[in-house]
Amino acid sequence: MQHLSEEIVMTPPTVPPLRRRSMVSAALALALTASLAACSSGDTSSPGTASAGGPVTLQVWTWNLKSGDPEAEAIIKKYHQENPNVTIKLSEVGGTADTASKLLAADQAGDAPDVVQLEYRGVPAVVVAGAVKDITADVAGVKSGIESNIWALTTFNNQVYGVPQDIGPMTFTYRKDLFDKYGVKVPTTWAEYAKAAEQIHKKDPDAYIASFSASQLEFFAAQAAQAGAQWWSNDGKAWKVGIDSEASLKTADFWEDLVKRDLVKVEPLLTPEWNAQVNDGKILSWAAAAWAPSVLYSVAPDTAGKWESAPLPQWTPGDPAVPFLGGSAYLVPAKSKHAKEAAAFAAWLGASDEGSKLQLTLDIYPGGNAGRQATLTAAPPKLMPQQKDFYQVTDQVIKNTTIPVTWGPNVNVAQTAFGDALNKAALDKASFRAVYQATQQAVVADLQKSGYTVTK
Amino acid sequence: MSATLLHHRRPGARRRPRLALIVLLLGGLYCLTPVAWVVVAASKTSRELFTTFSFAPGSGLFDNIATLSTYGGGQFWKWGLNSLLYAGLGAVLSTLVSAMAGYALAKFRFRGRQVLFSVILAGVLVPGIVLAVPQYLLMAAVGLAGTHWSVLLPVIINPFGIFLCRVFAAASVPESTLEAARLDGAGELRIFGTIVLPMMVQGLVTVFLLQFVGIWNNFLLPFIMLSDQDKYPITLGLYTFLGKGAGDGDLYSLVITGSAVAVIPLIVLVLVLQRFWRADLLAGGLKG
Amino acid sequence: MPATSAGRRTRLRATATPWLFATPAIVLFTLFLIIPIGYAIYLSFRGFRIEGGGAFGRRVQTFIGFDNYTAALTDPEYVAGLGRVLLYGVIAIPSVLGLALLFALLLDTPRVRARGFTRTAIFLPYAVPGVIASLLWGFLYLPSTSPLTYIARQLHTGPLDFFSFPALYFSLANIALWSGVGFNMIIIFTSLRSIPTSVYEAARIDGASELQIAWRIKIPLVAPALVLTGLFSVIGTLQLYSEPATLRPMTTTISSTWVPLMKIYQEAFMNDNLGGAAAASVVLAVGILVISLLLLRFFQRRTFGENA
Repeated sequence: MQHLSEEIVMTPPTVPPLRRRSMVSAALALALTASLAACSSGDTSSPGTASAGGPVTLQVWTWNLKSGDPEAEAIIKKYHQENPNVTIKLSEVGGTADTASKLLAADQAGDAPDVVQLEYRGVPAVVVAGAVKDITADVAGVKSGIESNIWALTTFNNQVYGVPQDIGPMTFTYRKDLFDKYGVKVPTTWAEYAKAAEQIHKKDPDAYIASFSASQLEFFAAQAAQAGAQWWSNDGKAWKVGIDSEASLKTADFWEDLVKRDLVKVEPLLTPEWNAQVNDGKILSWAAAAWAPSVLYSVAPDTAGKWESAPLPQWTPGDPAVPFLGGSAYLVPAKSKHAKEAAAFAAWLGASDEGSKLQLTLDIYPGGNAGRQATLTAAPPKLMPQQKDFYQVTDQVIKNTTIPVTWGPNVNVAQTAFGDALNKAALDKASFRAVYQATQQAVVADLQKSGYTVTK
Repeated sequence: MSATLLHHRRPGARRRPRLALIVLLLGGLYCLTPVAWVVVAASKTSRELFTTFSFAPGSGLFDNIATLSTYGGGQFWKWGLNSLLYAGLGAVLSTLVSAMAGYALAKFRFRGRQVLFSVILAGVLVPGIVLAVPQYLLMAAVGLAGTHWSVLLPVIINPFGIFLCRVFAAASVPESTLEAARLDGAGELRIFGTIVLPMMVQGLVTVFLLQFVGIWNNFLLPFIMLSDQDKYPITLGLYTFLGKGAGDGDLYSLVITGSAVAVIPLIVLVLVLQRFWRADLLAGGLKG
Repeated sequence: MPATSAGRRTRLRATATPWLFATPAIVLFTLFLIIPIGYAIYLSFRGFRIEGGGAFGRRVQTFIGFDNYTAALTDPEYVAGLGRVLLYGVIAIPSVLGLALLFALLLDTPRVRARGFTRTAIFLPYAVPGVIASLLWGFLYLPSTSPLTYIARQLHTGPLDFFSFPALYFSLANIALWSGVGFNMIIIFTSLRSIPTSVYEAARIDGASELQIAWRIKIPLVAPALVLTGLFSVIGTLQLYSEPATLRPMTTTISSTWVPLMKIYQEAFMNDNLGGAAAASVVLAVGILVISLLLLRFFQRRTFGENA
């Protein structure tokens, strides 16, 4: 809050659209208009006028508010009642990658929506593309509704680009019945995790403590963050890439060891294969986040009541800090014609007491304080109806320091380089360190090619 | 090919070729089994999908269909109607445009004919993946992005359809018939509408069917063009059932049931239109 | 004078008519293919560079010369992808076309039973979208859900791995075979049907067997159609995308840029690098064109040469 004036002053210069590009599209437009004029009926959506106070329709691209879903409809109806001049139109256009690529195309075409949902890892890329607005001033009034370490997920250079909606504080979800049966203690450190993995695989050679999914870049970034590394960081002027920092490589060694000793199953997540093994009791745990129980319940409803959640294992015994995994924010596209109203809606749902409490009805873990407070009195997830303290465990995790995993503008480059190489290394039992180092090089090279300064 | 497959020494013999039948039936079995699996899988609850034997029928068919129907306030059926509109209208227009172009290329000698044909054929060389975004920018430039038109117009042009129509027109429209009609003073449009089109029907049905299926299954173009869920075709709608964020499970059973339902109109269409593939409709091609 | 003007009018009519018929196609072709292709080529010389400096400097599209082309041609993954697609094509194309021709000829055999049923059955998979086809074959390949593995387990042979090398190529080719054989069969069959029966009546009367008729008369007559469906198969193969892309999340053996089109998709839709995607596409399109022309040349000489 105290940095507010500074934040407003530091708004970056907006780049005017390229002249040559607009000339090309004008030429294309001319060619098309000539022949299509006859065809284009009144079907085109009219561009709303941005007069303050007048009726406004906000186009919202989101997957957590599903059009037609009664809970989601109730939320947007409520908002409309409180803001009669604002109507919300929901559309589901895909996940983070889909939404980002559609947003960039829409931005070029000047056809952007008013609110888009993106996972945190996808935010920097659209920020540097200039496709989303700095909404620092718009959300100044609701800053206290969300903890500052959560705001950090959408804040770059002290400018806020999105309102956090849901978050994923990491937890350890495991099959309590099978852990008990095999006499395995719930691990509190990753060293204990490795021991537990050994015990489980010894008791049942077909069973594994978990699957090792190399394509889950986020998981490995979170692992490194928990160990004290930052894969991307910046001082406002230059980027620093820490994928090959020693703390990060230490986590690579850890997983390489488990894979080499065949203590984790090398296999992607959420495939029919994985789902079958979860149902079968052959995959016994998932180190993910507060949202994991609802995912597990959707693939293995019969195993409900057999699971429990515990705090995530640690690298250093007694250290309470855990990172975030997953979660998403609402952003306002730069070309939105109703940016003020859009930011207000995003702020209401994510940061206001009313909005963040309503998010509980959507079965997501809210980032807003009031919503999180409300979870404490909520019933536990369907996967573990017997674990009455589920939300207390999760909330404690956030109270103890959570580490925001920091992302950079070229996460996708890392995603491709890392996932493919790590898969290969896991299959060939090759060095994981080499994968991390190669990813580091690919990411740095790409940043430099684009023209960023990269410091050692 | 094995020499025994078509083993028939005596042309006059009324023996039915049994081996041919067996091979065809095996081919049919190979092709139908996975389709049968989709139907079986559609009857499974998500639990059964991962735990029971692949071809064991499940217990959740009606539940799945009910979930599908109510999902997102019944949008699934709206998407089905949109798909029918895009694929039906698109394929009709595409077939007509292809037939006209194919006929012109097959039955007229004119300067630039070969060049035109080659250029059109070259159109299939460029993968649609890179064209989708430029097409979208174009549509946006004229204010049509996001409308039904943006999905409908680009699919009317079908180089492969033009190629097929050229082949069919060359094979099934005799020069003599055209000459006779011209001597009778019939206009070119009338000749095309009343003589050429009926003669090409078998080929046109093929082109229509291929294009209908192509549009029905097209994903990328509507994905880029549309952002209003009410205008989504069924493929794009089904795609929204797949996982989004890290915390979103994949709705496998819903996707499979949805796919099974979405394939039904195509199967019906194939069944209805296949009668046109009987050769008896082809003038001079009576056999079998 | 009236006579010559009438003559000119007929001549004009004769030259204008085909163009009039082709006009709708030409207009749509120009709008939705030529212009976008032109724009894609334009984009292939452009890329994003940072303007304004700092960690959050804005990406701006600028002219970067042949950088995108150099990047595509020197990218080992892209080149490896081309290799994979060629290996896959060597397996898939002959099986699809061979079986399609076999089925078409069998369907065309006189007095064969269940013709309508089998023809429809074999064509039916064409109606199943590529993504769904891959998803369902994925279920049939994955050890925990596969009936084949189930049977293998009952027989106490080890689990079958459909995704290891080289089985993966056959698993993918099988999907192509399953969904493509019916389509190609119909094209060949339709072209068989457009041959007047009189052509082989004489041969039948002379006592030729159906096999001889198929080999000596039918195949040469449908050869042009075969060459062109083959050509389209080659193009389709080089543009292989949805099968490996759908199977990728299910296995660790398919990388995210396994075939050229996955790489192109990755660049265009994941990395926001339309220029790079466009350059890679131009390279691919030129490659396809060259291969197509070579094949066409080779086969044209053989098929049409034999006939002449």
